[in-house]
Amino acid sequence: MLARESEGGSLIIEPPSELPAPAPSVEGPILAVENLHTWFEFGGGLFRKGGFVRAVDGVSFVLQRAETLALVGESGCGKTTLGRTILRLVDPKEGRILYDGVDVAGFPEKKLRFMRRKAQLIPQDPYSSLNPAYSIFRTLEEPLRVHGVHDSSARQERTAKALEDVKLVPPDLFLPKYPHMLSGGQRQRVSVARALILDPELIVADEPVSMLDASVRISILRLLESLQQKYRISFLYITHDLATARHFSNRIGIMYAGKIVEIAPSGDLLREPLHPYTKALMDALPDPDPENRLRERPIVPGEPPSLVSPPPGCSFHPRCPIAKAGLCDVVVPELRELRPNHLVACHLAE
Amino acid sequence: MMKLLPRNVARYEGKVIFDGKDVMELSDEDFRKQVRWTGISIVFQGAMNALNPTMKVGYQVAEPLLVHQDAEKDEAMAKAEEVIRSVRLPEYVVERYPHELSGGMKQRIVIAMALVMKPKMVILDEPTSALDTMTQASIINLLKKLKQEEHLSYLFITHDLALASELAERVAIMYAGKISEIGTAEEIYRSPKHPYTQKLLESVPRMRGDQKPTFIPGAPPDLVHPPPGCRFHPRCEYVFEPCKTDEPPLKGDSRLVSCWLVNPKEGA
Repeated sequence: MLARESEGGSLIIEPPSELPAPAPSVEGPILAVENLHTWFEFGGGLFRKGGFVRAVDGVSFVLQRAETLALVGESGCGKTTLGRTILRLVDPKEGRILYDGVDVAGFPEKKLRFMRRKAQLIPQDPYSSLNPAYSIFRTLEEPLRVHGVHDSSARQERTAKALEDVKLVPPDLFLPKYPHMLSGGQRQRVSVARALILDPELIVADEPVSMLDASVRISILRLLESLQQKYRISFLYITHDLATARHFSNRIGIMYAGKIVEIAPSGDLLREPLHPYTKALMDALPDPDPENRLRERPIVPGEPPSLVSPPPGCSFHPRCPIAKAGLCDVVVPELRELRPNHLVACHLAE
Repeated sequence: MMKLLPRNVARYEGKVIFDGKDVMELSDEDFRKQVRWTGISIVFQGAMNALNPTMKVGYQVAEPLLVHQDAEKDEAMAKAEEVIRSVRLPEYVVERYPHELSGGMKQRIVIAMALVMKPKMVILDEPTSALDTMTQASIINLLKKLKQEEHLSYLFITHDLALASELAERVAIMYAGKISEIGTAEEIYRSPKHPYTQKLLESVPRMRGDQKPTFIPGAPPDLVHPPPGCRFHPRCEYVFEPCKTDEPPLKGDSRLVSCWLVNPKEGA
């Protein structure tokens, strides 16, 4: 770790390193996912057998109100599909999605309207997720129209307020602009404003900062953090970046090959990672330290498995440094609560 | 430096001394023959997506040898195989097409292409930014080993300070088209002097230790109309009078810093 004793002369008051868990509410969790499966079928042809891509393969977790849960994993581990399934943008194959206590997994689109208002998405790419032909005002106004805010002065007021919330001020300067006139960070702020405009309870933020520069990244995450405190929004923060997850979420769930392999309060998970995959991910991430160049970084061999025919048993076993033959390659490990609130799916963790 | 920018937009000024020779003076043709690939090669950001999908990767690695050196095909393919082995890929990938390889394997192929002409220097332009954490770590390990084995010089271009510390002996911090500080890795990471370097380091979310990341208010300036004086002054918390009007020189003993606070103006 880098020790830098305020050589810069600047005084920074350090916030506590762990975000305290939000107070439990009487209302119950905003979201509970139970044994969720999302499989994509691909077609068989004359010479080819069809099959399923098991993008989400038996995921369960609970998200409390005003909590941020980070779902961390490498590309292709199913984290984006999981987020989209929860928002019912993709249909699940099996399992329950309890939104505010109501199972919406099987609801037809008509019955989902209440949730379409209350659960929002912040997409990854601020360059392609805003309509280039819409002014910022129109982008923000559209959800209001769709959801029945017919009074145009009310719409104007709410769009202006949303821009103020995301610190694009004065709003009048930004409302008539088009996406190409804004920087990447500003566009992502517009995406955040669009997600906020209907007063959501849950926001799925899918890699919201991965396309942005380091400093802009932190400013957007700080913004989300302050909005959460202001409006008690629950966040599902989907990312491949364990370092930002560490600083901006209450809990972290590690995903591998369509499953959650470990989930715990952020501090506990990183202080004592119990799953070999979590350990490997942590080892692979450098901190800025001039000594890094003098050593090799420990890595596990191989690459994540195919989601069409995942290996039997634990899907990490072919790469796992401690895998035990006859156990790990045969029996699928279940999530076990090894420490209070710290669950891990590994036969050998203790 | 690679003279790759389109002629109608690019305006070069100044000198690039490569191996004792000003290569900016060379004609495009001589530059292509004497420097590009054989002297300096480059690995682009996301270059793995630039592989030709209709050609076997072995041939793509061998191609510069065929084009630049008029090598015999067998000889070129043998060399390609050798360099593919050196990036720690199994030999059979020579016969594979790009779509049959993973992202990390493709990135290794691109690195192999950059090495096949035995350059002295490799420009690495965000070589791992499109890759996953673990794949990134293995590519960085590979680059470390190759540097030792082949005595390569790297110019590693990145926005990721943590990643830079994996390879760099010296680090230059750039802001708005200029170098604001340059020094050894130890100097830059352990005692940064330029306010921008300090802020940048504070913005890195760390895996270890308790430091919470902070951000730099404001946005980088427009390069068409950069601010007068120090280009960082509108965002700098230590800004004082000379910063607003006069551009600070890049100066120092071993480590160079472009900041009036570090190198006070004479007579001020």
